[in-house]
Amino acid sequence: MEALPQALESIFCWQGLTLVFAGSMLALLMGMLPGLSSTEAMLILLPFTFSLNLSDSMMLLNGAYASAFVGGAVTSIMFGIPGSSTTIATVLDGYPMRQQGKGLVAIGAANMSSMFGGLFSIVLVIVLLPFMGPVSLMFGPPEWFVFVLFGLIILSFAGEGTFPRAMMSAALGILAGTIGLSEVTGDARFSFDIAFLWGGIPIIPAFIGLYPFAEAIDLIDVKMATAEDDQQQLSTSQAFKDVFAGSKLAFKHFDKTMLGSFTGWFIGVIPGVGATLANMMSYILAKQLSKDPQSFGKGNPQGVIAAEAGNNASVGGALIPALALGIPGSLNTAILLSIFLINGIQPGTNVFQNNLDVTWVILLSVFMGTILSSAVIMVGGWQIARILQNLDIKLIVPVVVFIGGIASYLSRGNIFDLVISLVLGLIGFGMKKYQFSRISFIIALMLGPLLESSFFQALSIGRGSISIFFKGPVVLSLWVVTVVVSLFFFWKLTRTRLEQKKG
Amino acid sequence: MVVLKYLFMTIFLGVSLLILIGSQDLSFQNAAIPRTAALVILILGVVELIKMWRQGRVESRSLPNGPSWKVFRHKGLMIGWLVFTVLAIYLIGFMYGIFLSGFVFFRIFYFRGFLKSALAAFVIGGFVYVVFVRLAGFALYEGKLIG
Repeated sequence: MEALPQALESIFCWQGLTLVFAGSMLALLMGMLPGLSSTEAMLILLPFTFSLNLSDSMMLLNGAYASAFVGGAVTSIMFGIPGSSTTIATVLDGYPMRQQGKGLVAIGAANMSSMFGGLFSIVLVIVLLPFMGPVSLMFGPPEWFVFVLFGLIILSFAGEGTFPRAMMSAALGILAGTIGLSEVTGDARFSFDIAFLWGGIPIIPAFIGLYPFAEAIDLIDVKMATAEDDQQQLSTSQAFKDVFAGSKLAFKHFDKTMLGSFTGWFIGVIPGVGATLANMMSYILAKQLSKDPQSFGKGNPQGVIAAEAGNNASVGGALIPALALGIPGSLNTAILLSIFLINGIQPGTNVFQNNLDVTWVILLSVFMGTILSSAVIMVGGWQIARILQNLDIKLIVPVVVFIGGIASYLSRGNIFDLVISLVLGLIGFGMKKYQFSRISFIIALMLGPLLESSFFQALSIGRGSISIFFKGPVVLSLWVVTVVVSLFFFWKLTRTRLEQKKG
Repeated sequence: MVVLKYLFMTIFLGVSLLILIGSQDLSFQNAAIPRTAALVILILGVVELIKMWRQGRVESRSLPNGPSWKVFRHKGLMIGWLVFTVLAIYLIGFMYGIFLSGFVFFRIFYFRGFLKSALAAFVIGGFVYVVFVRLAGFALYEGKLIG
């Protein structure tokens, strides 16, 4: 148990708190800009982590990770445009509230429920922490293989774009993951005798290409929100009163806060699904369970509360597969895991055995980041959104590209990684434009080598028989969960299509 | 731009077809996963291509005037600028490359004026120098022509 005091000591010093605060503020600002999200904020922070130790890097990045969605909620409510895809459901009731002159009440409610959802999810992870180590030890090669497969299938159903295109993206990611020296045989594959491809497609340059570079191409035409400023000009004291009244609503409708928190946390645990679905699902459930579902979409604060508690609770949920199994539950946890790999630590069981202090640092910095970002919004941070709306987003584009380029180069010190980022930037732009799933691609790229090595390890354990993939309670349970969840999503997909046809 | 949509999908299919053909000489351990992935792309891609073609026929009936190339001018310029940036960094290093491509960016997309663009590029270049080189102490790439 000496890991916890060690982690507390490294966080609660001026350096630790500054790192968490810096990460948190950048994510808050980026979240407020439509088109950019905490992922870009974390990627911009990446080059700074190369000169920090693992714990400090985690504080900086987790500060950003924790503040992922609060900034987006402010933009969604104030301008009716989601700051990121993770706040789509927040717009549905948040913007009507603003049109009714209750914008700051909505921001207060969103902020408090976000904070509650985030803290609740971390507390739940801390409670489950003693069980995570033993669970990860139950995973052998066949279990890894089925679990990764499960993650990729769910990601294709619930991620970006349509199912076939998301599945194609995942397959392309696996294919890209096979470039370079094979982990099984050590032979070079699909590297065209180019030396720098022998190490495979590096994760961080791939991230930089698929997100900041691709977004930069897309952002060049984005016009900033010019929503009519119909909000009555409030005095400062009245504004604070409104935000405070909104905060109280999160406790008044505590059932919705809890519903969103539980739903978001659970969805976060499913690998690859992430905060967008958590936000939508929490909203839908709150609406369906409400006594007055008709009022949703017309400015009901319960919608804002459930949606925001949901997306923030997914933050803690996504840390479970990432910490216990080394499987990224979301794009942001994939960035965290890539930092582990850069520091020579294989995520998963090793983290619990040898780096428990880092696990505590991650959890505590997410905890602190959640509190800090909410406090900033509470004391007037929502005003930043108004200032940012006057900023031309084109000005951000070169900064994002240059810092992304530096991160790409510094990750391995190889200038050709910049070329990889460029190529994947072009592919990423095409993928975004034609509704392919970039998140499926990147997570498959990360998990592809694990999928391949666990497949062949399991085969050799089973002496070449595929029955090894159907033996044992854990692997069978995983198959059952995979089939049930796939059938559920398939049913949902078919129902939506039928409704669309009828409509 | 309908052509680009088809082109993008065709590249997907082409790559997977090449992998299927090219992996004939590889051993089972080396080829099993890439071949399966390529097969998944090929099957789903063909289905999607047929769907796109059918959808395209309906759309072309309802939209007599398709989108023009002008829509893509900005995106094309931006892609060109990204390629230019990477090339500039490769040749003259991060510091000079960032200044040069920053200047080109502001000339094309923002201020248009020479002095304002140069000043903005200088500010960004200065920021990168102070933060990454002076404060963080990174040794940034100096360029093939200079370093």
